[in-house]
Amino acid sequence: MTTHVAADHAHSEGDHGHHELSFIQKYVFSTDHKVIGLQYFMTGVLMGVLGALASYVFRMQMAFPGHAVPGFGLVTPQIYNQMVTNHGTIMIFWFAMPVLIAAFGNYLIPLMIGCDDMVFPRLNRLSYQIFLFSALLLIASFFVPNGGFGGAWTSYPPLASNPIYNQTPYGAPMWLAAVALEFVAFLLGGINFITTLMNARAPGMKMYDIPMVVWMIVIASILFMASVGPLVAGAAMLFFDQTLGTGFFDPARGGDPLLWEHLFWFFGHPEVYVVLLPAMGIVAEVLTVFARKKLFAYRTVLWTAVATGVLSFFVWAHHQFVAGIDPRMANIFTVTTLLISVPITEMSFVYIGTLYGASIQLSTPMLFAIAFIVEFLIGGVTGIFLGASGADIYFHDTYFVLAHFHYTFVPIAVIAVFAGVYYWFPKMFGRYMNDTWGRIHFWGTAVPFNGIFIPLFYTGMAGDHRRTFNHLNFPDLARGDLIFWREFSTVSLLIMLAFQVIFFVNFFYSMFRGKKAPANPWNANTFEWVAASPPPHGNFVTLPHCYRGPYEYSVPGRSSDFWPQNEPAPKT
Amino acid sequence: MAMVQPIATRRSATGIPTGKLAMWWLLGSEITIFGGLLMSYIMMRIMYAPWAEAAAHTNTLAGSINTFVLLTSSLFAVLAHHAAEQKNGKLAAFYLWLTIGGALTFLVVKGIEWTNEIRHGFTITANTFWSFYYTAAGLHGLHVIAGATAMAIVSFDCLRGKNLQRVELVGIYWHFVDIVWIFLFPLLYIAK
Amino acid sequence: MSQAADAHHGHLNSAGEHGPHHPASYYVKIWALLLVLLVISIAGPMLGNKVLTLITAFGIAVVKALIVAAFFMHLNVEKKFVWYMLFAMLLAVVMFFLGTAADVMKYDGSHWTKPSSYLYTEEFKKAFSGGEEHEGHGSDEFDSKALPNVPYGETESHKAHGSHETEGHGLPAAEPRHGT
Repeated sequence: MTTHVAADHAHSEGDHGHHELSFIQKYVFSTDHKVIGLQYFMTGVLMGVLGALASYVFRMQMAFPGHAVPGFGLVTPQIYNQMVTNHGTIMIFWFAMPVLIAAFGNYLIPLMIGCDDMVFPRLNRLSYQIFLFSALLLIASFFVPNGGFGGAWTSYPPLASNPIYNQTPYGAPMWLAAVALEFVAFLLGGINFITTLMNARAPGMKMYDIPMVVWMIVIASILFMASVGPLVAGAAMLFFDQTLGTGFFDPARGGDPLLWEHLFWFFGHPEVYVVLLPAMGIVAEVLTVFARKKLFAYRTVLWTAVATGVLSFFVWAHHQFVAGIDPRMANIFTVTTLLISVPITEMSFVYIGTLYGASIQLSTPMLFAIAFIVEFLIGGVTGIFLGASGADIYFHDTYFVLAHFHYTFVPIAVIAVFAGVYYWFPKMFGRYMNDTWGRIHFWGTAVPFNGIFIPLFYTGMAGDHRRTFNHLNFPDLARGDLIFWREFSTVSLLIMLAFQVIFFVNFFYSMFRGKKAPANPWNANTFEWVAASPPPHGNFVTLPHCYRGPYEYSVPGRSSDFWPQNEPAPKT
Repeated sequence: MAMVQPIATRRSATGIPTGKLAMWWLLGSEITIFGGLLMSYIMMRIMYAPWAEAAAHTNTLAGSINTFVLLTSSLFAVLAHHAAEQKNGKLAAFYLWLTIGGALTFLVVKGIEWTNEIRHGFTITANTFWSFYYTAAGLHGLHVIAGATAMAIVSFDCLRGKNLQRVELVGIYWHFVDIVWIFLFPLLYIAK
Repeated sequence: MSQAADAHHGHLNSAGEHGPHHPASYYVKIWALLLVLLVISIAGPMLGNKVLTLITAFGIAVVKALIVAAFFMHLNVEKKFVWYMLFAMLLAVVMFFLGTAADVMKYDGSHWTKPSSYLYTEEFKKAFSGGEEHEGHGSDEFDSKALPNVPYGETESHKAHGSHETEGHGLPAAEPRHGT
């Protein structure tokens, strides 16, 4: 009996039948999930470049205070604040989330569950349009009088609410409106993902047959949806404080700035899991394919991810230990925060268990996936110190915190994303990325990354405070060794940024001139590798049927070391 | 430009029709938005007992009329759904427009109420009770407008007998808007 | 196994049958019940008892909401999953309240105090009880004059003390906001 393993190369039957679509219809106003996914990807990466440029500017200022930054100019305190604020805001909301959730989610989910598009394609397009508008609004905030908002990505009142304090009467509300619109875009997109996964799966695909990355993106969307509500309300309140002069967060008028903090962090903490889970999903896919081994404990990973999501609603005030919260609440939140490290560690060890005894192929995506596990574990471990409220009294607002969250965020938003890009590039564009340049890019990213942030643990412990324009203003921080490590960190950043050029050249060159790739270049099991590379509109010639789980690699007794999900079981 | 419906839109592994499932998830997120706002208000309101003096000036009559109007419009919405189930597009559209009429009445009453309050000096910046009042009722009002607009669009399809399943969906949204007001009413008008 | 949803064939009621569950009069009866509850909740405050008012106002609000949800939104015949999901969202909101209330809803707590709240409460009471001079304050350790006095925007109307000057009839003066 012939199997359905052979990829289909034909185009789908004429969905658009009679007329060929114009460029505008096909690419700008498309409702095809693959096009929208790539639109999110390109927009997200562009915004990420902006965020990286901001980090270049302020790291140069930190290392060489008072010197004009090459290619930018002198960094005044206000510009420094704007750079720092928008670096954080852009990287989280306009780079990490769009690429991890919207780009990979949009591209992969319909393909991996075996259907031809999302269940709400026009809503999908609307989400992207709102998202794009929010990005443009944020960029526009730099060009209004007094420039962009500089009150930190956490935007605490009264700095954020009073234009006299923040000096950006137009930039602040525009920043806030951009963030709120981005929330709306992701709420709409999330509804699309969740209902698509719930309702549009291929026949035969049961709960535990769903690829882990799809689960993770949908769980992340649910987490986002459940946690962002209070912050949307808070954003409305802050917007009125900024523009109308209401007193929601003004204690002299019956408000409370702590209310904002709680509204913000109630969302802010689940948000880190909103970005972590998709990254772990991507790593799961890459690990299993290049270890030729099933995921060590699929159900454990899944339910642990759910448990992490639930637990993430109980830990948020660890961001506020020294903000003046009731110390008894600090006790409770210390316990819950330390507890939440357990499920995440467990997931990391399941991944390591997947590698154990496997036939590991160190392809470029695999290098990034393994680096994710290593670097993220460092990030997680350093979080333990911060989760204990006593230690946090010292560490809060120092570079120790910053190094911790970059050791979690960069693996999530950069390393795991690169793993996914190198892995799925052949599917998206029908060509391989150059492997040699990929490896050079990997080492040029992973090694300097450590050079940037390990010194910052040290300088943080020595007392370097965050969001400080010039540490030399503090006599005890003007020590030679601290100055050295700040410069070391900045030089590492320059090296890391330089290596990203290789990635971009590789990416765009390979898109047009890379070696052609077949439908299933990695011999993987999941449905997206059944479709042609790149998949046509409608994805599959015949929609697949699911016969088994996604990670049936190296199954004993089979001649082939993989067993695609859509291949019917042999008749015995 | 007509779009071919993807096969994905016709699947339903859970048995819940996709449109309805999406609407429930949307309402789930709206619960957290309004919930966050109202919880913030409740905390402040309980803490600042003197706000009772400010709250004494809300117009309970207008609030009660609006509650009645919204409850009645909910009735019309569910009757529209009833008609849609009987495949009677014209009757469904008729009831939808009665619901929209309720929405407009609600907005007119609110407009009169707010104009009166603003004339007496109770603006959004008068004090923080009023800030919450206008923000919460205003956010709710925006949802009323959105719901009325959606119902109008659906009604045009109904008149041509198309997409009758959407009557139930806008109805569910409308009932949620009603439920939010059911909680806003005692919070802003009764608790004095 | 997936089953085709009825998106193109009009609505199936949740029992899987064509046609409506109930006659229209059923819904009218529910509406009448809702109106009765509304009248009770409005009448409640007139009895003067604070606890009774809270029960009638909020208890009835919960009951009304459940009636609308169960009967108008047909949650009583909907799959249980939807109830669980909505309830989970509600739990998230309650969780938010519990974590925030300990800080925001109190004037002081374990080793901390919020002097501006005392001040605000005093100001507010004075604003409504007539134009007494307010030199003394409820909280002795806190000197309100030491607060930095930064006005919002261009107007003077939002100074920490000034915005609640009283008029004769006890209403706060609402000065129009200039600019913006």
